[in-house]
Amino acid sequence: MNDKNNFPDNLIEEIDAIKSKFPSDKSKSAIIESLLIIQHHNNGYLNEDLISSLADFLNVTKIDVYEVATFYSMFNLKPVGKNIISVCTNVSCMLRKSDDMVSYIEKKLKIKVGESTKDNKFYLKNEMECLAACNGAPMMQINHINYENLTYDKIDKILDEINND
Amino acid sequence: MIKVCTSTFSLANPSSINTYLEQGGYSAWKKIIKDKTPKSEIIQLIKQSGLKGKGGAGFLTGLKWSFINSNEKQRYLVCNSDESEPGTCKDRDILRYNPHSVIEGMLIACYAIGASVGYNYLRGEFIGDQWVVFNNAVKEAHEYNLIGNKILTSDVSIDIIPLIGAGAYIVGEETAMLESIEGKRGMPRIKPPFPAVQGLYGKPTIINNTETLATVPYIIKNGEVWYKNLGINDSVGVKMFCMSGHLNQPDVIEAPLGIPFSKLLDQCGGILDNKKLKAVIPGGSSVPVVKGQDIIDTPMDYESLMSIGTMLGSGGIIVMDESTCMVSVLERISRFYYAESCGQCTPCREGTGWLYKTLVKIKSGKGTQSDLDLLNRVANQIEGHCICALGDAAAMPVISFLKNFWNEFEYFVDKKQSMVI
Amino acid sequence: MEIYINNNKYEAFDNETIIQVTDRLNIHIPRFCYHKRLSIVASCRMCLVEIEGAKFPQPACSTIVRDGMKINTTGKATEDAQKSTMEFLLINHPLDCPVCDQAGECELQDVSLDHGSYKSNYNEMKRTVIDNDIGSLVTTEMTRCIHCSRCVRFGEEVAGIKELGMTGRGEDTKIETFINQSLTSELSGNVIDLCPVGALNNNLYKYSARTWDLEQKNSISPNDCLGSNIYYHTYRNSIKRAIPKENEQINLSWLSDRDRFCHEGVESSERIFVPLIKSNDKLIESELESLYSIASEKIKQFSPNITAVMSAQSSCEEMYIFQKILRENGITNIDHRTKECDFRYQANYPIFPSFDIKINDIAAMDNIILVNVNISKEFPILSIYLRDAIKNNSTKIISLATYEYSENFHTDIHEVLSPVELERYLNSSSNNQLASIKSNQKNLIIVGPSSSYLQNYSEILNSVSEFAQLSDSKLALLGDLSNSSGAWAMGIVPHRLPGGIDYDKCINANYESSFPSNDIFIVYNLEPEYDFSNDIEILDKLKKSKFNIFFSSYITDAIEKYADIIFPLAVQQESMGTYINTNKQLQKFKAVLSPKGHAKPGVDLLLSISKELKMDISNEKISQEISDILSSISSNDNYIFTDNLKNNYEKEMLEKYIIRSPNTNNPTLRRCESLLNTHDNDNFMSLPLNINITENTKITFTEHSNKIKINAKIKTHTKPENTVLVKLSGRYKQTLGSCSTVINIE
Ligand SMILES: Cc1cc2nc3c(=O)[nH]c(=O)nc-3n(C[C@H](O)[C@H](O)[C@H](O)COP(=O)(O)O)c2cc1C
Ligand code: SF4
Ligand code: FES
Repeated sequence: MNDKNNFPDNLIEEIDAIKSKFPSDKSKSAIIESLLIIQHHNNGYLNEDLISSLADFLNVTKIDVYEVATFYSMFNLKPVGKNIISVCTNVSCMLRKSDDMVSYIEKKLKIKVGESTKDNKFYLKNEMECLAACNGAPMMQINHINYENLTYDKIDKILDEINND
Repeated sequence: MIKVCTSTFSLANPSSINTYLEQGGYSAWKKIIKDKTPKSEIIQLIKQSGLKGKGGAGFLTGLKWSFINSNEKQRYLVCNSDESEPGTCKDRDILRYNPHSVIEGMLIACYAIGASVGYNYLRGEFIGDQWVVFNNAVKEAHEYNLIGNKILTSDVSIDIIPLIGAGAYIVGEETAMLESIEGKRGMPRIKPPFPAVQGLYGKPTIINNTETLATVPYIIKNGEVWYKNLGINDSVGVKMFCMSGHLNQPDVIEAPLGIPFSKLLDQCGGILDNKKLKAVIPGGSSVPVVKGQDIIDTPMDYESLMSIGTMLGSGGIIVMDESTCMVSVLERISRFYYAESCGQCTPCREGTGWLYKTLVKIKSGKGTQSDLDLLNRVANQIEGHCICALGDAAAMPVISFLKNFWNEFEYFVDKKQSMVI
Repeated sequence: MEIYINNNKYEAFDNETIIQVTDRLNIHIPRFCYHKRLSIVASCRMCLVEIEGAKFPQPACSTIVRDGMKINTTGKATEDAQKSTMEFLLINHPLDCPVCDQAGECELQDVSLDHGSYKSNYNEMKRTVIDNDIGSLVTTEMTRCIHCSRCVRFGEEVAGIKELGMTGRGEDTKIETFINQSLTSELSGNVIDLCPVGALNNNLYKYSARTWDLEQKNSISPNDCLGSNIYYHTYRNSIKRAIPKENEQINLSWLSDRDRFCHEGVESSERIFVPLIKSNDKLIESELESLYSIASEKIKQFSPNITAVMSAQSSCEEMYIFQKILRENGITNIDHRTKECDFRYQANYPIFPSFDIKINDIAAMDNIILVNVNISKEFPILSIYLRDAIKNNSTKIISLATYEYSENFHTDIHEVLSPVELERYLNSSSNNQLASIKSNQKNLIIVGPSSSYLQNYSEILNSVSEFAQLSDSKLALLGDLSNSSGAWAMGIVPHRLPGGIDYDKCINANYESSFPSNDIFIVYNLEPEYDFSNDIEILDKLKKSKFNIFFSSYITDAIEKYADIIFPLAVQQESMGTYINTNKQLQKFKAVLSPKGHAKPGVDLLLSISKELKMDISNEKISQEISDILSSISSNDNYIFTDNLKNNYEKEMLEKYIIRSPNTNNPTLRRCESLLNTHDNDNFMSLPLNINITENTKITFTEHSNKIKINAKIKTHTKPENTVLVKLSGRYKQTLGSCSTVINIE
């Protein structure tokens, strides 16, 4: 996938589909969704080559794509663990002890927020946003699937299941 | 119980088009197509229903639609499903349990404002669930020829296109959303020009919240008087209240505007562990906090909340019991606005960091009395001085927390520890 | 409409912003992000002003005036708002003014004095930003950045290449290029001026002076025929930096990088500072007086068998005196077209080749056809006008190139054609893309100077003119040097006197045509290796010549080898004079430096020689004569038709031509290392695809019985067919042969 200017056919198809959502002279609009897809196909992160290739493919400047890639928090510009855990620690969750949940996960996985496990199975994202599941607080997303009303036991179960997969 | 946007929530297969159709879904849209209802009639009806935007600002929806610059042929509708205001979790339920109401609402809005395309912009974090459901719903509607080319063999063609973000609260701000759709950093634009004059790709654009648009088909179907009368006393219509925090049963409750706060509290089983109510943030974390005793009997509508110095905002109601440390809560809130400032305008870029760092200092026991004054001053220097309302959103909590809980902050800087432990 | 500012009534126009009104009225409002030539973002919030009726102060830069609006630029609300913005800006700004190049002219510093507060309440860690290398012209100190985004907008909106961008978010927002990329725009240096603080800096200027010690002197840029207005900042007789001088008819608020950084060459170690004379095959220092007398002796002795060539970078005064000395002494073979090889067109050439329309009127054109000119590289300032035309008038741009290059503006049609194909393409305009150009539209054809280097220049001119006539187009001829049009008007061509009067006594039609071995050469500010159409030929002639007189600012191998005497010529920045730009604007420049060593301005050298020759040329009268000459030139018909051209091309012939980089077009530019490093570092020989080459193919070719081998990266191209392109940059040490000719590959 790191081949310059050379996305595999299926990816080109996907990006073309994204482009078709917008007026034909607005290929820039396709940057965000394309980056998500490219990142998905590249073990969850983006690099210089991929950004360059997308810029060439969409006929926009590299800095245009880079500006976007550094703005949105779901883009990773460094390698990360396979399963991305985001524990919401915003107000509603905080009131329901989400900070304890984070500490619990940190201890369990032996990493700090912002790090990936040694076996590269998990990445504990430093999530700043409220993940819009306030009535299910405390909650976390793993690979963008919600797990709500967390307890330590629940966390054990969820993580172990993924780990054994 | 009144159900509008939540009509399908408790049904089996809530997101499927059949469920929606069985509930009389798309009848409004079909009727408009069949009768060739004049655009102005629809706008008039929405105006008369008194429907207000549910995204936060509470602007009259019909009035907003009427601002569309009809000199330009190409116009756009954007549905704001970025739902990111802390404490708000209603659009996510609409998107996954009643997606067709959003689609129908978007179709009607597109028709009314003369847009050939309606984009629904979902926040990136919805990619695992709501994104899948909504895309599927769009596909279904296509199959029924309710979207697309020559809808129901009429000469109306409207495309509804789902878009996905990638993690940025600020994109919920309408002009930042337009920038994001254009493939750029989500940095709010200066207004004027307003989007209804110059919006997406420079073309006239109307932006509405998911809940707002999901309400539209029900109003068309049942009439403006029906909707108006859903409210209590002088209030108009319903609202989805996202009840979170120290509650026995946190929930999203669709209720008439004007419902007293105490009733909402009851519906959530009261305060967690029967503790005492201390404070409430009634409209998402950006609106001013109020003391529990000041809100308990207040009707939940725009005007009444205004009268007690706060706002209905997005309807994200964050409830705090007596054990809550207000310093910690404010620190957390300000961390959020600091992290989410887009960075273009000076007071917000620099000021949110200053607020947050000062609060961290206070919370770690290193704060002084003068830091409290500093907080107040910096917040006031941000408020009203920024391009978009994120600056205000960062400032208002600080000002209101200090005002309502000054003694607790004072205690903290004096004693180097929280008053509640 | 009427508005009130600080209780005084003023007139304002519809759609004016507050800041436009106050700027016009000289009422001060501080600002950082606002720039009159960039889009409005209103993001710095420095210009907030109180408006009656508004709850909060509003940005003056983006707020449009309303009838009866009452604005207070000095009241408490305004002052508080501005003070707080200032405070916010300073909390993360380093306090490194003592080591900052911007100190003394820093907008942040100035505004902070006026609107800031003396103490800071900020006790947190300040933000620091790690700097990346973005090229040899602009250096960065990004910790100082205040995020006004002027530099980013400049790239997008003016330079047309977005290279700097805003990355990160919130407090971590940064200005940077894409990972490891250098700036490539020929206008990149303008971001230095735009940056209100010391975040983007001039690499040549870095740490070399303090702004308050600098003397500002205005001048005219010596690098292209637009004549951008420029300020040089000097300190102790050395140019420390250059900035644009605003001129609404030419360079607006901008400078090309070439103009901004060319003064580096003034300090080159290859400068000649003393008069030199050849003795025993070695150049030794001499006295100016003796050189004057030798030169005048030789002129008398060899007249009329003298070939005198002069750079078109020379001032009108130099040109006028030069030709007068020579002509009055019977010498007729005078020329400036040393890079050309086809002179058949010359009788019909305009007296004053010009751009034909005012540069400002470009925006009114419907169609612009670019013939063999890479505007973004060769005329960066013009590219700004073209972009504006496209933006404001949807002007259609058609580019007919003789090799593959890109522009920083949208071209609707981009054809790559060989010189012969170019001719034919124009001739068959009804059957190709040109057919869409209608004579009832406003059309402009811009012919680039590189066309004149081609062996079929006359044919191209015919075709261009024919098409221009057919489509009722204006024809703009761009010269390659700062005073190219002046050279024509001042009679630096064999067949015309100053003012364009036909000169029938001329013996040779051009400098190349014949050169008997008993002739001598006078070479004025031209370097044999780089400034002639055929380096082999000119070196051969210099070798055979009886005597070679050079006027030169720099030494080169060939000059060292062939010069018999060398006058140490001051560079343009050390001389005064006038240039006439392509719009026939006569622009005076003064010396910004006194000449280094014993170098002397050309006018002084020439006048001394004329005295030696007992001629009576008065310095005072010259400028009057020059302006008389100019005003006498009235007709400005740029269509050029030459009859009876014999086109002896065969389709299969292989042609070679040399691509000359505009960043090396004069001796001083050739010595600006930082420019060469950034913009002009490609060396290549490019072959058409139909020639089979493998990786190790050594390519030798013959032309006019010369065997030539070029050592450079070999590339291939699909278009143009049947052509070999050669481009070497900087001061290359190779023989390239003819600039445009038919070759055989071995
Ligand atoms: C910082 C900021 C964030 C916002 N986030 C959201 C959001 O997540 N969802 C939303 O619908 N509106 C959000 N808004 C409000 C929108 O700008 C806009 O007013 C709204 O989408 C209009 O829809 P409505 O009239 O239907 O309420 C936000 C505004 C600001 C200033
Ligand atoms: S207030 Fe903040 S988020 Fe809004 S435009 Fe300014 S910097 Fe961006
Ligand atoms: S100059 Fe007006 S906001 Fe920057």
